[in-house]
Amino acid sequence: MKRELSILVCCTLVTGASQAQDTLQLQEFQIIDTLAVNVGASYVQRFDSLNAPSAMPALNLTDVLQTRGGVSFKNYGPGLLSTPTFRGGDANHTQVTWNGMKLNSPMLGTMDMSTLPVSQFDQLALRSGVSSSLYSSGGMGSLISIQQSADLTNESARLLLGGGSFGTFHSAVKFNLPVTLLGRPSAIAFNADVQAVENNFPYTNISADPWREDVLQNADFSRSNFSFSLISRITSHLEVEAIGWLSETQRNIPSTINSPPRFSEQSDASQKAFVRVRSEHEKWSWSLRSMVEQNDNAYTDRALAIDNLNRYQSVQNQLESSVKLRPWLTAFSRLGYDRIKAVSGNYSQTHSADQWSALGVMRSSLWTGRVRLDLGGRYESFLQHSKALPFAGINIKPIKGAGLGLTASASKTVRFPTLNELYWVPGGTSDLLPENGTTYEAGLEWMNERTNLTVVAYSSDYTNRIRWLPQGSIFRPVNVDEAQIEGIDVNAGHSIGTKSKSLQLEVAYHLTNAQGRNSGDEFAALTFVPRHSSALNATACLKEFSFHAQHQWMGRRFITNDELEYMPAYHIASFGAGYSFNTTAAMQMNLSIWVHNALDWQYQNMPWRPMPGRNFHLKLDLRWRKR
Amino acid sequence: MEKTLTVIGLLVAMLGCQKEPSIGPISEQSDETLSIVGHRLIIGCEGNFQYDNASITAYGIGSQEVAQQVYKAANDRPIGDILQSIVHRGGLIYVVMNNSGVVRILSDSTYVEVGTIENLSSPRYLHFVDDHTLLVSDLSSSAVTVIHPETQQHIGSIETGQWTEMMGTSDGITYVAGMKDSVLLGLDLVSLSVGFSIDLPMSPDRMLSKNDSLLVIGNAKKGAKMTWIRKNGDMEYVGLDHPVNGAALFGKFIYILSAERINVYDLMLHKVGGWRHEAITPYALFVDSSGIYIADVKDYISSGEVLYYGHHQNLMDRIPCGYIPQAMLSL
Repeated sequence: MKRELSILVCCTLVTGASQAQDTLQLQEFQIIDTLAVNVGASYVQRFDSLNAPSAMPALNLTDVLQTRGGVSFKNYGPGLLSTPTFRGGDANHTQVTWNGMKLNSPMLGTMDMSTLPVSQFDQLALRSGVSSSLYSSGGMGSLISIQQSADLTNESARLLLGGGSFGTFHSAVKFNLPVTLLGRPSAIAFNADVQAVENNFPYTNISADPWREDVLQNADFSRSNFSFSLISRITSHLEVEAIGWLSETQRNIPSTINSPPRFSEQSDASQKAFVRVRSEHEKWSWSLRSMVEQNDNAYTDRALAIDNLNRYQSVQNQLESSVKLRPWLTAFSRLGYDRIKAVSGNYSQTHSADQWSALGVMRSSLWTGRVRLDLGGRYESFLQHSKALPFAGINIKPIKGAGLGLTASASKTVRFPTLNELYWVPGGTSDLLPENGTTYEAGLEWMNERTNLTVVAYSSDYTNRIRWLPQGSIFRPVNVDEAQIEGIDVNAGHSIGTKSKSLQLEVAYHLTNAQGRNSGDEFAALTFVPRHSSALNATACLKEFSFHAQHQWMGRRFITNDELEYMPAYHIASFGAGYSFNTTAAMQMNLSIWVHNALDWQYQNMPWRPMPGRNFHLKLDLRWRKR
Repeated sequence: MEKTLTVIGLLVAMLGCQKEPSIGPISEQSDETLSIVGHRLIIGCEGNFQYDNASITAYGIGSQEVAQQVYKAANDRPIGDILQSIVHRGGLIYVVMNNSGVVRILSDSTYVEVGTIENLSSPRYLHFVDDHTLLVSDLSSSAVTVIHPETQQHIGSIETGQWTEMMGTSDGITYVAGMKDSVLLGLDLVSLSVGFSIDLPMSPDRMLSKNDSLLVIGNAKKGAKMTWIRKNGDMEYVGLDHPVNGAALFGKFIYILSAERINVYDLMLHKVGGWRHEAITPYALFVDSSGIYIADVKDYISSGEVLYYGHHQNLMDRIPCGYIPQAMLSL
């Protein structure tokens, strides 16, 4: 039956595509932060057209990174905790930055990607190795950078309404309005993204004997994000921007299906204020960024009588500059100072911490730009720890005029213990050492009008990895592990056809050989790291119609170090179709329908936590743009 | 373009077809049906939280044969999530499955399940007061549940106001360890209430019974402490240099397991000996006439091992077992 359905879907896709003409323009990738130095000598995958009309309805950034980036996540279910495990790193080895400011909780060290909406942001990129070192330390696995800014030139508005199976509702409103403020060209922007999901999906309960069909209970969640932006060009060289971002997530947390039902819930609320002042000149530029955040995490477990509030406030400041010393030589620097204050029902007192950082990069562009050399280093200081972290990268274009580039890089990074690892009662250990990491990368890039390809091989080792282990009757964090990780990351895109009839292909693949050990043990596979993961996306466009096919492959993941227990591989196939037309010269309406997990693959990402089978999503996307 | 589309569509759809119903965690642990008879060690392996991979290993002390997953082999299903403790009484093995919220009752000869005690919240340890009264401590319910062992029915509960762990009897009084406040709660089994409490300068991690006396051992802010219980609370504490990973009482000696050593004390709590063991991550200790058994959980997410020492401190065997071996008894 499923194979028959597959063939039917394929036929539909092919038939639709054969009539295709292109009217949908993917959103151009917009450079927002011109000061950021992008070292090409490492793996970077940019997710452009993040909010294109044809984009898959994604509940959060997890969906985007999984289905387009092939990134492996520890995902407890729709709307539940979701953290990436890229390049063998744990959740706290992937740093997440918003306009260059860290979003990872200084208490947990992690960022729950299910709390981040898609519609709010303009750019999303996955960076590793040297490229992650430019933004932050601790990105042993990767760094996910997201960008958001108001637009001085574009007067536009957007209304998105979506709904689907299992009580899913999603709406988003955006507008961007250029204005004149005190005689200066300015713009204000507003984003609102609201979701509510009942999550009462059917699943195969494999903990029952015999297996039976059940419906997931107590898994509903709601999430709202609101942001306000104001940008003003004070002079032709000076720009000021301010953004306020309010975020709230409420969710019930279902028990694993193999244990008695318990009722726990989590509430996350965050308020952020961000200010950026930047000045750009022909040969030099500077930028000052600050962010203040108040973050509350409340967790209640009625069965375990846990009612805990974890709260932190942070202030992050960055001053950066770029100077063109010679036509072929540019110097880039950044100084950072962060102040954190945290309180928890599991801390004996309020704890504060200061973090200092300094970054310096020299970039030379030699032989008419065919060789690009980056040399730099970071300095990081947190509580009693400090570390100097050198890095270097080279990018060579061996054939003049061709799109081929060869790259190599080396970098060191460090992850300081989190406040919970230091101060949690019981268990927190104040004398923990930082985790250290070294990464070497080599790769090639190919780019022409229709094709882009990036292949990067890497080798990393981490020492002093921190794990929470039982010590008597309580768990304590200890420096026990070391890990060696090698692999290959690939992403490629290709388009064929004409403007009126086109096909775009996008593929990402990750081969990861991640081995770890406790001191003195033999190396064994790191848990929850798939050897293979990939994502394939195909979009065919014909006149007002678009057709989509998507495939996500998550390889087998060991859940124990002796490689005797594992989560099986799964393949998720999804299909979509869209219709787009202009109601007026300025107004475009986009209607789309998606069938996620079209072949109803029953699977679990985390043990005993079911994921939804086949589900449908309808999306209405109204866009207005002043001509 | 049509050919390309066809290939992509077919590829996506074919890969999306679920060929085998492999949905959740898969175990490739062996579940041998080897029959271990005679004098044997039963090893309860806790398993990893929420993985449902707890197990029981049987080890022939004379034959040195090992049978893994004996519950699964006998009952054709996994035993559950987090095996916390084991008690042997009247030809039956009572296995407390913490995160499954159930106590499984097995035949001690076949391991076939003959009964269950259900509707428990997060059970931890069992204590038989007599043939008619079984107490079950609990991590989350803030109460000790009273069970009739023969009917396996709930007959009452004792509100404790906190997480409770091990239990024991001293001078005719039944005590339960109150973990939140580091206290011993003296239980009134007539009124089913807490009669009194004794504050402790350490966490009441382990309780060992001998002749109606109760030894309490637990980790303190620095190292650990141990003491015999006195009803009036007038107790003498002996300090230990290192945190305690396990403890056992056999004959005239108390055995204390720490990260690197086993130290031996007499019943007056005077240290009389000790030696360095070979376990990587010692987690639990069991001692009987056959020898001294140290559960080694290694890195917690690899199969564990029990190190079997003779009473002359000679390593007799290394017994492979399941994940996080922690509860042992001999039959």
